[in-house]
Amino acid sequence: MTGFLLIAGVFILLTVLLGLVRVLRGPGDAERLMAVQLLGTGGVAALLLLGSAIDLTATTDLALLLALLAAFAAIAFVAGLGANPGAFTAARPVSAPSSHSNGDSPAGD
Amino acid sequence: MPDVSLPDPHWADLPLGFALLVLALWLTWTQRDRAAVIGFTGYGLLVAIAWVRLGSMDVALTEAALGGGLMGLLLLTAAARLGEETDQPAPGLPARLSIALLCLGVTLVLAAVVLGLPSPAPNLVAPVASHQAVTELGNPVAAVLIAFRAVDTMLESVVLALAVIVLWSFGADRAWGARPRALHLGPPSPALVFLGRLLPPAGLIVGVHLFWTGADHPGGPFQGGAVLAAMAALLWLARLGEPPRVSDGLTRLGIVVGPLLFLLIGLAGAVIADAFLDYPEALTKPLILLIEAAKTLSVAVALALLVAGPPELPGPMPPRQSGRAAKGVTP
Amino acid sequence: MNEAQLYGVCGAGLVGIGLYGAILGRSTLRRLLAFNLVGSGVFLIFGAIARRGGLAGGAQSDPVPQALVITGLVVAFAATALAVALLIRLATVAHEAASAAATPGSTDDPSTPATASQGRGERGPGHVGAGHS
Repeated sequence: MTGFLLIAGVFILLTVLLGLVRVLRGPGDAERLMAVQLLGTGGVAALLLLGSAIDLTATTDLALLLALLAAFAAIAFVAGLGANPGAFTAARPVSAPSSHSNGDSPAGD
Repeated sequence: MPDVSLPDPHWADLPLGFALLVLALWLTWTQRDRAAVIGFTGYGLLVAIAWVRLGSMDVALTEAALGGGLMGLLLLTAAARLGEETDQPAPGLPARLSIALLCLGVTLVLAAVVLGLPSPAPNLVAPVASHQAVTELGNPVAAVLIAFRAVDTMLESVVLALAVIVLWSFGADRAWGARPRALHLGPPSPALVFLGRLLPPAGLIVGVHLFWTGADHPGGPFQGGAVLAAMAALLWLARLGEPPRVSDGLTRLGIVVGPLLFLLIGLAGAVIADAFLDYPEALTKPLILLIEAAKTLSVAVALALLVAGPPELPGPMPPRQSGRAAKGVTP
Repeated sequence: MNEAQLYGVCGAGLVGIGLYGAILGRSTLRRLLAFNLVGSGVFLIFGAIARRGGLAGGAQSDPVPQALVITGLVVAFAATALAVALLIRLATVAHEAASAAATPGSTDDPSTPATASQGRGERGPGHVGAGHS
């Protein structure tokens, strides 16, 4: 049983690490964020499996904490979108800006 | 602790360490700030798991509470307010190459040091274990934090209070006395308001649980305080409450009560017990509990205020999408 | 290679990457992230040393370095929060200076005594139109 739990935990950890590819490649910030959420969920599962396999009760506390705070990145991201509606599809800023940017002043509000 | 080594298969460590390095490289070189910040929250989760693999549950809890919750909130709101900054002019290739080589040198020296550490590793496990019974604490890390290295912990709580003072002084002169508004990011969505009502009761229980269990199991004032602070920040972000004004007396008391109580009990120890920050034998456990409770409160208040930012007047948001704004003041 | 050495080497790599990013980061926010990477790498090296010491002493991890890392994490977070506030303040000041320079006769100059005296008010009357539409 312990062996099964260990193997399952490590397998989930490795699967979640594969999800990192989505963080790196995007293409949008929403995809990246969902991959981070997957990382949190899978991390909780892996911690619980590994923790019960090696009888380390403190991992339960850590899993509880991760589950509690998992939503924080998502809500901060969405709240930031509300503050800055144009930025979701914001184009790449030009690499050589003019000396004093006064052409884009209406974008301030 | 009966089993000394974690019997996990070690081949989970290599992908984890590799993923940490790849993620670090990516968030240094990727193009957009907000994508990098999102990657950084994922990085915090992975580091917490790495700490579990290193056998440091206390640190893993701290990293998860700070890196997973508050740091993501702080950096994502900052990225939303600052907008995408344009690239700073990069120096020429020779300069970049030499800097990269120097950084590589630092890495190689550090790696050589890590790999060449003396083989019977020096440690303080036995001294801590032999004196731990005096504190009546089952968690050796808590015993170190609150008793054996109490000076560090006290100075650290003073640093938190000072950080809040410095943060408040970043506000504009005319905004003094107003409320912090770094978390005011437009009208909250209904889902956020719902979460703001649902999560804080559970978070309150988890925070107090982490504080209370810290005496005998991993946890403690920092972890509990960080969870409580995250819940307060969530309430403020959902606009279900407002951060207190910086002139609020009760808030100021909440910031200093932890370090102040710690200092007073420490000074009393110089008279009643043998030395500064020494606890009288009979009162050790109650005093430690009192200090830790006050410290949890102060850590929670200070961390929440650090996320809430300096006092600001209500008004337009700072500039967004205005490329070189942050560097406009330096010619 | 055991897990202490592996994560120690990983921490060394993170310090190097973070140093490079802190010197040559694309933006100020990115440099702040890189600064946090350096801190994280140093803490991981601490963790590796604590793990070795703990295993040698018959525990999971040496409690003294763990306690140091916990205080260090909290202080690093406080430093990050200060840096973020400084960045936002810098952007605000630069924006105000830019808008004051764009309209020389502007009435909502933030440094006039009329608005500076509105110390304790929630909403200074001179501040309402600071966006100069």
